Amino acid sequence: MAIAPAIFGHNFEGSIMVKDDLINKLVIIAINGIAAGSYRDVELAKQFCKLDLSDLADFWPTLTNPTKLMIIEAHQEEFLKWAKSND
Amino acid sequence: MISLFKSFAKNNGDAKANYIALSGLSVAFRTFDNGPLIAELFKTDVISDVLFGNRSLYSLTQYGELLSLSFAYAKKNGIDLSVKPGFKQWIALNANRLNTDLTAGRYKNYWEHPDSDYIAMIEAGLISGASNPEDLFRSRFSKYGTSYRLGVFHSQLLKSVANKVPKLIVEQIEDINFYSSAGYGIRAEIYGAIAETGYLTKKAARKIRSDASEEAASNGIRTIADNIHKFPNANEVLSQVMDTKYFAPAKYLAETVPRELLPFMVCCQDQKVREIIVARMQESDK
Repeated sequence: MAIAPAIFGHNFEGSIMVKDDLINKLVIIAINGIAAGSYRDVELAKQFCKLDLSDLADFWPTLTNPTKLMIIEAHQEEFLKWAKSND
Repeated sequence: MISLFKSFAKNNGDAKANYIALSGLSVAFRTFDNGPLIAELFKTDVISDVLFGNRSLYSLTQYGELLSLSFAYAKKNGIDLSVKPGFKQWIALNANRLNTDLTAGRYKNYWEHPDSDYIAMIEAGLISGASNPEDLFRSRFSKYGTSYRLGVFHSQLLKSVANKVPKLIVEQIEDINFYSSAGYGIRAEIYGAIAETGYLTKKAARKIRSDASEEAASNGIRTIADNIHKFPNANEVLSQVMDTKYFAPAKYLAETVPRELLPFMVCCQDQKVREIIVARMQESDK
């Protein structure tokens, strides 16, 4: 089941929720909150951003821009390698 | 679908993963739009997994706040926590805390700040049956003395007691000595607490509307308007409070009551309120 694009509500009605999906939503809410400028738990968010890109790819639409930037920063080498390979 | 939680736990350990889930729950509770998500968390018992999982990294104060938010949400939405995994055990463990604290003389002063899990503690005492709501009401609220405000703890205790024994509170409001026995600030709290439960008689609603204090009447009427979906006799209750003489609650009612009830408010004395009513009625005619 695809995760709802708007994480802060509205798209939950009518969909069959499985436990993993709900916990994923909580995790994304927390990470988006930290990336939005919280001075606390930044190290934890950085560790989260180091997860494999293949794991994070499915959730890309639900991440906020600051979170996406943190992920790109954590995977800079991979992104640069990929960019150069497309020359 | 990959589980981000499991992937993160695999690399960084259960404690950190659950810390993130607890942080997400905290944000979800505080964000207005997340009502449907919270409802799903309770329905699927995911909230129990998160709240009662590994919480070794989460601060005790923040954890207490989360428990309080969970119990308050369950009370407001009629969720029975005594059968929910995790909550059931927590309630059994903390059933006597309310009695012990009160017997020890805590919260005598209105400025005494309670522990962060105080809503959960009050609810645990009442849900488990270890504390009797009628005894609590009689011992803590029947004689108000000269105080005009309730502290944070007593304000919540009153709401929880009202939720358990609304009839007792309504009888109190209907009592002829009620005005003289309670200050306006306390009357405002009592009206708010009873209106939140969705139980009011015609007589009690009329008494709220006729209160000599604007603060008390306003708080009661606004809370009735906000919780009108909970009243089985909604039209009856609204008809009793709609001719209030105070501007603020009259304006609030004019803006929020269902359109079919607006004609009842046309007799309102304030020109501005009448203008809102007429504008809404004309809008519904289109």
